[in-house]
Order: sequence, then C-alpha cells, then structure tokens
Amino acid sequence: MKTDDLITSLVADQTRPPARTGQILAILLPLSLTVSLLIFVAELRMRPDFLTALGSWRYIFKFGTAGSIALFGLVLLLQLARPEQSLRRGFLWLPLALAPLLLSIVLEFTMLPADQWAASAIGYYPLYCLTLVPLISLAPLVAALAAMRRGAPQSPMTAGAIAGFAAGGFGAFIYSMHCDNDSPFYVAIWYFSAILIVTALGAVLGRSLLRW
Amino acid sequence: MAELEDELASLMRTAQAGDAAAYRRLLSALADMLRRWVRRELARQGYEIAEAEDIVQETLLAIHLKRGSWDPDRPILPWLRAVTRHKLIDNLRRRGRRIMVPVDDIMETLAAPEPEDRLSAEALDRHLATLPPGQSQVVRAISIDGLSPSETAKKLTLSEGAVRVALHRGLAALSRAAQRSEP
Repeated sequence: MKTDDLITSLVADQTRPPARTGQILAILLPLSLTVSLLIFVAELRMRPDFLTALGSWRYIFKFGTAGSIALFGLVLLLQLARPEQSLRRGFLWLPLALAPLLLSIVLEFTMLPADQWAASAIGYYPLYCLTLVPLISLAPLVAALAAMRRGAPQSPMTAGAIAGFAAGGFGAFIYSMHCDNDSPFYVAIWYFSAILIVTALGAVLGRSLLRW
Repeated sequence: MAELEDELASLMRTAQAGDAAAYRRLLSALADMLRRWVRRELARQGYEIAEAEDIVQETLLAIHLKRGSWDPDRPILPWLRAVTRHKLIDNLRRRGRRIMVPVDDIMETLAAPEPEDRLSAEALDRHLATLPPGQSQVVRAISIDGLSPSETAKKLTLSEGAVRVALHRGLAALSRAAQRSEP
C-alpha cells in the first residue's frame, strides 16, 4: 500500500473529534459505580451504627484512605493516558494517594495500646474483605480500562495496574459502608491487599487490552 | 522548532474541527518527517532501513487512531515524539533479531534520493488480507481505489454509515494486526 493511499483512508475516517479518555470516564464511571452499589445492596448491608461511626476518626480515615486512592488513582490514570507523560513524574501522585493511610497508621501506633495491635490488625472476617472489595471493584475496573483504550499509555501494563488501583479504591470506599473493622492496621493489611489484588488484575488485563 | 510546533498544532486543531484538507496536509507533512526520523533512527541503531516505510505507515495509523490522546492545550511535538517512539520501540522489539547491514550501505542508502515507488510498503497489504472481508473491501476501496465513502457505499451496496463504521473498524484492526505480526 502506498503511504499516500493510507493517508487517504485516514482522512476519510476523520469525521468528528475522537472521544477522550476523560470524557469516556465521565460517562462510564458513574454507571459502573451504580453497578457496584447494586452489588453492595444485594450482597451486603450498611453497618447498623453507620451514623455514630462517622464520628470516629478511624472510620473517617478508612473512607479517606479508600477515597484518596480512588481519586489520586484517577488523576494518575488520566495522566498515563497521554503518551508523552513520563511515568516517573506521574508517580509523584502516589505518596499523596497513600497519605491518609500512612498518617492513620502512625496515629494508631500512638493511640492504641500495644497489646491490642494484633487483634485489631486481624479483625473479623478479613477474607470477606479480600473477596468482596475486588468483586465490588470489577465494574469500575471495566470502566477505567474501557476509557483507557482511548488513551495511548506508554506502558499498557502500568496503565492497567493504575486502573485497578483506582477501581480498588472505589470498591474499598463502598465496602467501608458495611465493614466495621476500623483500625488503620486492618485497613493497611486487608483493604490494601484487596486493592492490590485489583491492581494486579488490572495489570494483567491492561497488558493485552491497552496495547496499541 | 517553535514554528513547526505551531504549524502542526494548528493543523491538528483545524483537522479535528472537521477540515479534511488540513488533515491531509498534516498527515503528509508527518509522513515526510517520520520517514526521515525513522530512517535515521534505524540507521543509528544498526538496523536495515528497508522496512522504514512499514514503520512510517504503522506510526501514521497510530497517530490517527490515538489522536484523541493529544490534549489541544498542550504542545503537539512531545506527543508526536512519544507516539513515534512507542511505535518504533514496538517495531524494533518485533524485528529484534534481524541481520544488521554494514554501515557503509546505510550511508549509501541514506544519501541516495528515494525513488517514488519506495514510498509504498508491503506489510499493510498483508495485514489487510487477514481482516474480515467487509472491512478489507471498504479499506481497499477507499485507500487504494481512492473512492469516497459515498462512492464506496454505492459500489458495495451498503449505507454510507456502514461504510464509515467498516472503515474505522478496519483501520483499528489493521493496527492490531501489525502489532501481532512477525516480520
């Protein structure tokens, strides 16, 4: 094929401006979170002391941890959609994403007597958290990957991993409404592992789905 | 450099607003730039430059399919460089273990003026054959036969919308087929 002929077909294919990752995400993310909430309603229930728990710093930090992973994960994801974005500069956001978690761990070390550390780290039903957070995260993961297919990430695997990281943050945020293990130790071990499971799944999917 | 940046960025903006002539001018200019750059890069790294045009075509396809990842508020040259680099690395990885040509040959080829027919490449034709028949017919009619989408629709007794969809899917499939291919 002549290069000029190829250009002719590319020109014929240019009709309207292509949708951007951010635009697709703005549509798909709310839809996917609705699916996640439906799964939450079907499988789980709000913890009965939800409103009183909102007054405890541990519970607030649990939401903060999940929320900032979701939020900064999204910011990082949108940066990675641009091929000229250097990975190293993008990853400067990562400490911000983890700031609430790290801060709450430090607080917990100073507030909680040492003999209670182990018990609060293990909590109740941690395997529930390890399976349900990833399950609730699946819909936002699909949304993030679908949006990233419009982007041009330098490293498809990294982009997929960050899609999973952000989706895991959303899943953890929703799951927090149910879960009554509030110790930052518990969050650091079980929630974070659950988010890492979604991150790994995103990396595997991204490697093939986000290639370009 | 600043002039080139402004020119390319404004062509891309005009093109994305639906100006076909601007888009053609942009892609032709990019094809020339890419050709020089890819040949130089291949030569510098000790690869044969015979397949440079394949890489140019694949890169043009990627620029087209991924043009939405350029943010019009940012400079376009870094974006173009990143897309080109990505496709070149992808290609070198696939073509990795090929015989290197002696440096003298490279200098000769670089110096020699390029005859017009060298500006065509084989790889996309091979990939075109692997597409679903509907898509490859439409891509062929529009690229090689130079028909407009409406003429193609008439010839293949399809709606113009169906032709546009087949064209877009065909181009995306071509790009994927190129990624999978072993030279």
